[in-house]
Amino acid sequence: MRDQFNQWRGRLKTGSIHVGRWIRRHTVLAAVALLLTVLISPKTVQGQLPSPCCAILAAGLGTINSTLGSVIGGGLQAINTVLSDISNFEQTVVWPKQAIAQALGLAGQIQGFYTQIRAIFQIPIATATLQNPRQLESILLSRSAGQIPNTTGGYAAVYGVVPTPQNAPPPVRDMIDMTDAVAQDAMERAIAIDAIADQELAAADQINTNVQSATPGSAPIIEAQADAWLVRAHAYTQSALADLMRVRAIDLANNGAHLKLGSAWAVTTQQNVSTTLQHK
Amino acid sequence: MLLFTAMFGGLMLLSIESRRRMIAVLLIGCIAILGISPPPAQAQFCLPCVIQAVLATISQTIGNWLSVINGVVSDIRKLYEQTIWPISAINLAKSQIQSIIARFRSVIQSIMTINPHTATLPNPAALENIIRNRGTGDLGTVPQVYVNAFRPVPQAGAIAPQDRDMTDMDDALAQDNLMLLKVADRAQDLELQAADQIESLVGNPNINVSAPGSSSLITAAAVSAEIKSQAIMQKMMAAMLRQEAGRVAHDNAIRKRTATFAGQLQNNMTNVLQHK
Repeated sequence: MRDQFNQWRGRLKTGSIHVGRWIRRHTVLAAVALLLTVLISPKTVQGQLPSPCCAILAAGLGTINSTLGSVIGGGLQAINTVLSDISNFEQTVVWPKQAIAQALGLAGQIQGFYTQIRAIFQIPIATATLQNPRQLESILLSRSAGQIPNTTGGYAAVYGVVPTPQNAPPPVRDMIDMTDAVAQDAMERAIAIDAIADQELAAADQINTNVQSATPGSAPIIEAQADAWLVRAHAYTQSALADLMRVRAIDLANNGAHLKLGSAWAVTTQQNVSTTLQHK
Repeated sequence: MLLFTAMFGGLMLLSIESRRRMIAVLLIGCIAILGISPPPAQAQFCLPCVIQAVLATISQTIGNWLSVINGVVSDIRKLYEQTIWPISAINLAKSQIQSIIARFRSVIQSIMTINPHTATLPNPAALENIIRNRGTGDLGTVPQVYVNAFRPVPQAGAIAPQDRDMTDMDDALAQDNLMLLKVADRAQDLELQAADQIESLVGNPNINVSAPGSSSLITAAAVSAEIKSQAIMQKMMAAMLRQEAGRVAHDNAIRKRTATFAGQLQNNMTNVLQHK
């Protein structure tokens, strides 16, 4: 047995020496052979028989699919139904396109009315015939703030100036000067208000044009600006009314002053007559 | 395979004698490492547990959230349809507008058609007619008709120059305002038409003509019209200011002249008395 083992070992050793010698002689060839052996050696593959794991996975995926369909699909469908109802309601009741178009059309029609109004307000209405009145009238109807400084000269040419101290007592001169002042102020204010009214008409035209390109969502923004302009316009109207009230107040004051001065003169005259009679 | 590679490599290592062999040995080493590197191991997990967890997430978490969202959206729909824009309220508002139109518009229009003409003589009647006809086509005839009623400015020499100027100015202010009022009358008629159109459109029962969403546009247009109306009001106020100022100036001019005459009279009398 031992001899047989020694014999096998010797053969193995001899064979190894032979193989080693062959490899030493053909090293590259041996390496290539080894590489090919590694590359073409079969890999582990999965058999075609169904795995229990796959069956569980398939059943699970099927359940997930049906759950997605019922829970998420159903929920989304319900939401979609409500959203569609809302959309339909908004499009047919709240913001119908035809109604919006009608509103935009109305803005255009209103613009048309005021275009006519602006045109008729441009018709010249000056009627004075003489030189001085014509000059004052042209200043008063100019609707130009630049003409305001010329009012004083034009006014004096038509209505005269305050009498000299030699020609009128101080109370009368004061009254005349105050009355001239308020009359000129009113005329100047009238020119300014006319000019402002023109600017407001132009601004309102612009706002109306903006309305015609607006949407229901942006219209309140434009309306807010229009409201601001309206407040401003009211303020200017009040300003004109204030000047009118000043004129009337001074007119009333003149009536009172006439009585006061008349009574004073009456007393003075009475005293003078008494003095004259006493001298006689 | 690995054993075979190791034995083969060992024998080759024993026989390294050249660079070629060294390369071959390295190549074999690489192949051996490739061969013995462990394949990716499959983790141990519970597939039914994972599926169950996914199902729970879908049905409980996502399902509940969808129910909540659906509830909110339904509430919004209910709010829109029953509280903010109920069709019944929209129709009620429109019917109220129609009711106001029916009740007031024609009455007001009929009141405004009453246009008093009370002048009896031909010239005043002609002037009254022209200043109350609410038309602008005959604006140019106002001065002549006015002169027929109030007579022209006296010729030079027939009146003091200042009186002549003042008379002409008074006439001019009066005529200008009468003409402006004809323009204003026409403007008022157009404004009334605009107001009627706005009101009719807003009260139209057809939802495709007037809707809550379109009213903001109509309001914006109406406010711009209001600004213009206010501007016209200002023009009328300006005209009234001119007229009142002219009237006060006229009175004041007479006052100036009276004062001047009084001063001159006083001086004259003083001179006369001094001469005596």
